Amino acid sequence: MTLLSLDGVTKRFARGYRELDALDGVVLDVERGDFVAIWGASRSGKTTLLRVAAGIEAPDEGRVTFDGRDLASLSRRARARLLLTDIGCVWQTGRITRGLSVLDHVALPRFKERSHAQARVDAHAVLERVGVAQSANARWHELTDGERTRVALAHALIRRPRLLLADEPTANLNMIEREQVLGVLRSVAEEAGVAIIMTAPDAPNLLQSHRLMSLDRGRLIKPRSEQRGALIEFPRATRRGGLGG
Amino acid sequence: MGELAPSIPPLPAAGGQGGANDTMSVKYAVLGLLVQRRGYGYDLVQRFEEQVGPAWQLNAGAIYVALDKLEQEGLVRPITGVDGEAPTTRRRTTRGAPRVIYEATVRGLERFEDWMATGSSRSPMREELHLKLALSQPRNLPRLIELTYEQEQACLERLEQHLGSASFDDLLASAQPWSAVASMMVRDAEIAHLQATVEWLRRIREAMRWLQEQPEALRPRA
Repeated sequence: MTLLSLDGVTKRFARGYRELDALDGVVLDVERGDFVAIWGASRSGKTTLLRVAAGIEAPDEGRVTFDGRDLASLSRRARARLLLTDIGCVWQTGRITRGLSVLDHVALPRFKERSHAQARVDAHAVLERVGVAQSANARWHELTDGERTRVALAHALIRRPRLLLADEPTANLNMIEREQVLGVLRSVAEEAGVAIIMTAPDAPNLLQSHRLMSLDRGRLIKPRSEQRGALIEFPRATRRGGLGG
Repeated sequence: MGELAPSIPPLPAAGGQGGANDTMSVKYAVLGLLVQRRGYGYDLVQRFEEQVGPAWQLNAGAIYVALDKLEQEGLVRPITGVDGEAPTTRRRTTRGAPRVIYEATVRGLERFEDWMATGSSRSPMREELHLKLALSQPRNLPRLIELTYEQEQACLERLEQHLGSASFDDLLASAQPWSAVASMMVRDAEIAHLQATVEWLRRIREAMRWLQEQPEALRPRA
């Protein structure tokens, strides 16, 4: 069943005296366990696509449906709750709460449901999985850009979201780190059934996903196999199935 | 190839795709595969696909042509039957027919080493879109912009073939045999090429859009 559906989504921004189509009639269905990678240059509309999918911005035209519910029909409060429970986001501008260590920052969303000690154990496990356990006691200003991205990823994953939206989660990573993060994302999709939409600036970043498409001036370009009625099954190789991170 | 080349005329370039250079490269690749270990025609086609990857878009017939040439030049030879009888003629299509297995000769081995040591030629870049661009008029801009989208889609389709494949840095990290790493590097060449093509398509699309919006920029110079 389709978890997230964008149907003819258009979003315009005014830039100076002219209007710019940030998204132009985007149609996209994402199922449970789908790992979709969207390739676009900067200002191609990637971040807007994720913000609209998260319900943070409303489309000017078209409909965004999450789990069968039209996001436009939900109250602000309900949409905010979705972001806390079902939809995890990794933004490039993410920061951690001032004064907290990485471990506490990642454990924070779990404090409500679990004991602090258990939440910290969980947080440590997630940090280990994304490969930054060694920075558990560091503060934000002590982290490299690559570590910050991975901490943001851990922060999103610890809530066990059903949909993960990641804006260039491999930015600022070297090749080995990139493969590691992509491997984590792939296994999260395949083992936990999380639906993932990731944006990427270049081709090598796309190849661990299940489906790839490209975005240019808000227009989504899909390979022919993505057209409705296409018979091609996407490869769901379990080569990395056992990769824990 | 000089003195060793047989006196057969060079093959005509097939359908504009690939020329004498490609034919020559495939010949040495087949020789290389036989240097690795002996093999027969179809086996060589498969090993070529496996090691070089889909980007080459090998025409299986080229392998048989290469085998013929290599045999004529004495660089490979068919292996004689166990009982010492003369080698059977090569059967290409009939299922179950006796296969002729080839191996590299000593001269073949030397020639392959020579080829490894020489420089590598680069294929010319011949894309239909380049010709269309070069010969287009300003009135063609809308269609050319649309074409860049179609080409980008075609690039995505090619990239799909690489989905889920191991990356070579991944292979390096897990200490794989050199052959696996080398094959991945060849595949990575296609990925890099596709990426560069998509980036180029986006660039020219942006430029064409800009020109479309400023018609005075396209006015013929007085």
